[in-house]
Amino acid sequence: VFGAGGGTSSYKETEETDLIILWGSNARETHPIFFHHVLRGIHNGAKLYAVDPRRTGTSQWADMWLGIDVGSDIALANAMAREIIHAGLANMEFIEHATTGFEEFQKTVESYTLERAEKLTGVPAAAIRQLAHAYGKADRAMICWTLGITEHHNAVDNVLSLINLALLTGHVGKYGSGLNPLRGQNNVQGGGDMGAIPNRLPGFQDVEDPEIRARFEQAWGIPAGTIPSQKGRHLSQMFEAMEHGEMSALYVIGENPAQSEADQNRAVKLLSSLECLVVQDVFMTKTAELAHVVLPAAAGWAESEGTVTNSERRVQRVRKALEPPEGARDDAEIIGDLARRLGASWSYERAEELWEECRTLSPMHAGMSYKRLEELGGIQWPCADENDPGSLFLHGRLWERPIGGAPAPFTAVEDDPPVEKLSPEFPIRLTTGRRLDSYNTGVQTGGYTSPLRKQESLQIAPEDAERLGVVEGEVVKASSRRGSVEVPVHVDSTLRPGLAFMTLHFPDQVSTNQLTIDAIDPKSGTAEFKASAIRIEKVAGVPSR
Amino acid sequence: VDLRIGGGPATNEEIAAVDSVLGPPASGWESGHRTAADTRVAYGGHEARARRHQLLPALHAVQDRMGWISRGALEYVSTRLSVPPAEAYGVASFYALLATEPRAPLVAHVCDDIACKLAGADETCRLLESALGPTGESKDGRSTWLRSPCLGLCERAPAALIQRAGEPDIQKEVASAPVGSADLEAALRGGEWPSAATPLVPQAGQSHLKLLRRVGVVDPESLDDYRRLGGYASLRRALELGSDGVIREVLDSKLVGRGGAAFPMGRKWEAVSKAAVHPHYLICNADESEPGTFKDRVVMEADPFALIEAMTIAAYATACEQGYLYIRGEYPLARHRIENALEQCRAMGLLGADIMETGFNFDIEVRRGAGAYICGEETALFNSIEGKRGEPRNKPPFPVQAGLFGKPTVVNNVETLINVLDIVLEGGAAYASIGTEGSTGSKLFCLSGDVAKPGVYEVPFGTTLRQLLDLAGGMRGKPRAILLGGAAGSFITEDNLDVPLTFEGTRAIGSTLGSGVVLVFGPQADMGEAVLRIAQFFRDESCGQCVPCRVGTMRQEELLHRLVSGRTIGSPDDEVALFKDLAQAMRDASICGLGQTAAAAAESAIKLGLFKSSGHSNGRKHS
Repeated sequence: VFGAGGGTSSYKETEETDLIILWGSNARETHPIFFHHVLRGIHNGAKLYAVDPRRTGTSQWADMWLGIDVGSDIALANAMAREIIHAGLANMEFIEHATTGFEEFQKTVESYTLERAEKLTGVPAAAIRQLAHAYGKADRAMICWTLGITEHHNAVDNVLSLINLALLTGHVGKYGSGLNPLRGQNNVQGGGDMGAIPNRLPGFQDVEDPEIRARFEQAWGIPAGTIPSQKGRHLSQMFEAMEHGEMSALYVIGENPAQSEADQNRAVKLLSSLECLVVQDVFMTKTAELAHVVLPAAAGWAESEGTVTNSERRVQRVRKALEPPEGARDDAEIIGDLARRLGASWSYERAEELWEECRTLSPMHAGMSYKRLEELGGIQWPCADENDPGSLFLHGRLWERPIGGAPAPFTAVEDDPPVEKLSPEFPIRLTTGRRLDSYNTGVQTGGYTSPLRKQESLQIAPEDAERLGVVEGEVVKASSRRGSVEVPVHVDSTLRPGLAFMTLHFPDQVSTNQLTIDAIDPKSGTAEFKASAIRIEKVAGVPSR
Repeated sequence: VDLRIGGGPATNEEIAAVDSVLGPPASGWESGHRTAADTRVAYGGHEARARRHQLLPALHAVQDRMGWISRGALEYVSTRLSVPPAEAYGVASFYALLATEPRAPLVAHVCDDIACKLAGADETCRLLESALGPTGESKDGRSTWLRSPCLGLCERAPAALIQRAGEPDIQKEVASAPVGSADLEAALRGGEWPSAATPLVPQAGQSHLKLLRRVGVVDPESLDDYRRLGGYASLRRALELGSDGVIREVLDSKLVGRGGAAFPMGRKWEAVSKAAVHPHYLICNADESEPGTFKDRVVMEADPFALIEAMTIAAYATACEQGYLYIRGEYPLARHRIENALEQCRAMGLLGADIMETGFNFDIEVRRGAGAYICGEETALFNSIEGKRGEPRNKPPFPVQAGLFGKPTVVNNVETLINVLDIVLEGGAAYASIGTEGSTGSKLFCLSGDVAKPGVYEVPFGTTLRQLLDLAGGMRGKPRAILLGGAAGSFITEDNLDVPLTFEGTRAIGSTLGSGVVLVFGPQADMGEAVLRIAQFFRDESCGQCVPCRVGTMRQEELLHRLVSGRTIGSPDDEVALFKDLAQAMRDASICGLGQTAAAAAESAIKLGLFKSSGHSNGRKHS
């Protein structure tokens, strides 16, 4: 929508805003550092609203929690938009000045009355109205989201529905207002910025733009047309390509798809059928165990030089403090060697050389020398030249008169519930997520003890536990249309009846992804980890613990 | 992270106790019994956290009902108030009168502090121990006894506070003095309780009294009687003067705070009155806990309406609509009298909306302390009301800028406030003509220990100590020392009997008026014991927040034990030098007055040679 992929606001703005909506984000557990900034905001008086099927720890800090049905986010956002328009809270001046497509958007949301939204989301109409009015009236307001928005078959549409709300109220492009996807690791943002996604070159530049390709080809001294003119496959498409025999070799760096992919049985089968699987990782992961070649890597943290970029677009230096263990090498070194073996003439000696090259090719990083990064404690992109202090927030151009650049488009989107419907056979909605002390498949966190960490469990509502006649710790069988697992029950009052929760943290104990569905959003490639349908049964003969 | 205390859910009785303060739960999220609607929407956040100030009242309710606060009860309170369980536990465990481990429902808190020690408290405790077992233990699970710091009944020492937890009609609390071990044993075994101590005011009824003129004369439970004796004439006059007029009179009176810091009252009031931030809060500090002090209790027990009228005038002058009266937990009779008085005042339109039909709104909420000397420090008191641990805050900001709930706040103690009644009625200039240039008006003194007629006395500033003691019938025998100003004050000797009792006069002899304590140690008194009890007091009461005080009060007590017992490390002179170092560090570096004054009394005792180290050093040289 805006032509850049990053959170628009700074952490400092989170501390000084008036209203924060955490939508599909249990930031208190999954983004604890960011949540510290949220807490400061709260202590400074900001109101917090949480939209989440579960009443998470985050929600318990909120002034209001809206417990929506999994995957009904668009219905909620559209109903809020309609209410904002009808209550006269839309920022018509901003809409006329800086956006396009309002009429069509207005037409689409018109059918999302509060009553209809209550039916679609499960949230009382009065609560939706209250949130709409609070967001519409706030002087400064930001929406932050995480995987609750993006791990759906319609992830991009979900994001667009939130962007629409910001455009409708003018809550973007000014101090204290913005749209912020929270990143799960210290360098998720940086990975994308550096082109580690199928459709971008370094600097988040479109690979399908011939002028940009030409610039890179020239700089790299390679023949015109060497860089593929079409974007590559994203992860889900890669698996499809493997399935159709179109892909026979895979080079995996720092990922564990054998355990992190939805529908795990299928993922392992496809990985095992490859002609060549190369895995480069710090740990001997389950995927590495399937590989033909394993390249031991140095840790990105403490064992190598370079930069990372956080959720507020701040590029920061990381420094090498330790020599990696015998045989493990820096990722960039491994890739450089591989390139030379394949006939390229790469001659980068140090991380800084790579970075200097990036600065010449990526306009948004142009002003960031290592020296300045050190002096300023990191710089937020875009940073055009060495006099540019970096950017506190993005899209201020929308407020310039006349507007700087193209106006931002509304994109009308419709409610589209999860692919897998509940049925009498599979009546429970299973959603997945993370816990404070563990990360994804546990590769990085499983090696450390935590007083909070328990084994994997199937969290269910007290009402469901009673109905099923199961007690805390009792092992049950959870089945979806794809597979079943045996897992102990944890009775959890943050869940409502009919909703269950699991994590992916303990794949060796319980492989949750046997249950999840690999319905993919074609636009982003993310799978619908957040919504599958399951059945829970008592296991005969297994005594309760 | 959903940290839980564990230890099972609250019992129905515990829930009922908490709900009696907080009202019924607003949603299933608070009670654990949720409805379908609860699973779709929940409210909390700022609104829920704004109720945190109810934490201490809720904990009191559980303590009163159950005799202790179980983990289940604590978790229920935490959930109701959206307070992290660890913080709720931190608060519950902060106060001496709240038990976080099982405790028998019937408890006698037996005072063994300095005044009661002089009156034989140690013997009482020894007899109780042989009859009932060691302190804190309970043979039958029904009753127990505990040692207590000063209960503020020094004029009738020895004293004890007896509490019985249970259903509202079973709950009972009596502070009694003098009591013997036989009385206490009988009560703890289920027999009859000793009667409540009533105030001892030897001057009662004398016509020249100002602050105490109604004490012992007025019926403390009757607003009509208070008005018959001139009550509420001052408020009427204040409303005529207007708030600026009241502040002008107070400035003219040169009244200074009686809490110990002697800050000019008028300036404090003026600052709050002019503060742009609203609301403003008024707090009456009735957490009178300085050992040997009992004057505020006497006023509240004997003339409660006077305090309420004075608070109302203060609120009017400083534009406060909400007042808090923070009364120490060990004063059940005073609390009862004040609560009764508040009800009558509300019924007669003297509190609440549109007082005396002037459009002025004001009401007072009683907050009950729970056994923490430190809560008498004004910023610790704010934290206590706000539902936090009663730890002092750094200053600045000063209370007049950012006090209770971060708003401009006037804090005055009981004695200071009741001076306002005469100032308003007779004018600041008339008031200033009493006393001396630097200390205007009259002062209440708490006489206890070896004097003929202990009690609260009112004298104009400038009266000498000798005259005051004569008023009390003189001392019993040749005194070994006199403690002036309380545990945070200092010892003086007979040589100083002609000191004029003024702020400047006591300062000139290196002492202080403090809270008006005059505690006489007669010829039989064991001064070493007295100094050690004071050291123990500060070690117990240090809140532990800042190192100089937390560690200093501990080291001080250890050192004094060595000095008194004669088992010094190195020579006694080495120990004294070390003591001086320690005292200096505490004075310079403690956050609040507790640590700053914790060594004062012991230092004066050492200087005067009140206790001699007997025996010899153990030969180890202090390095």
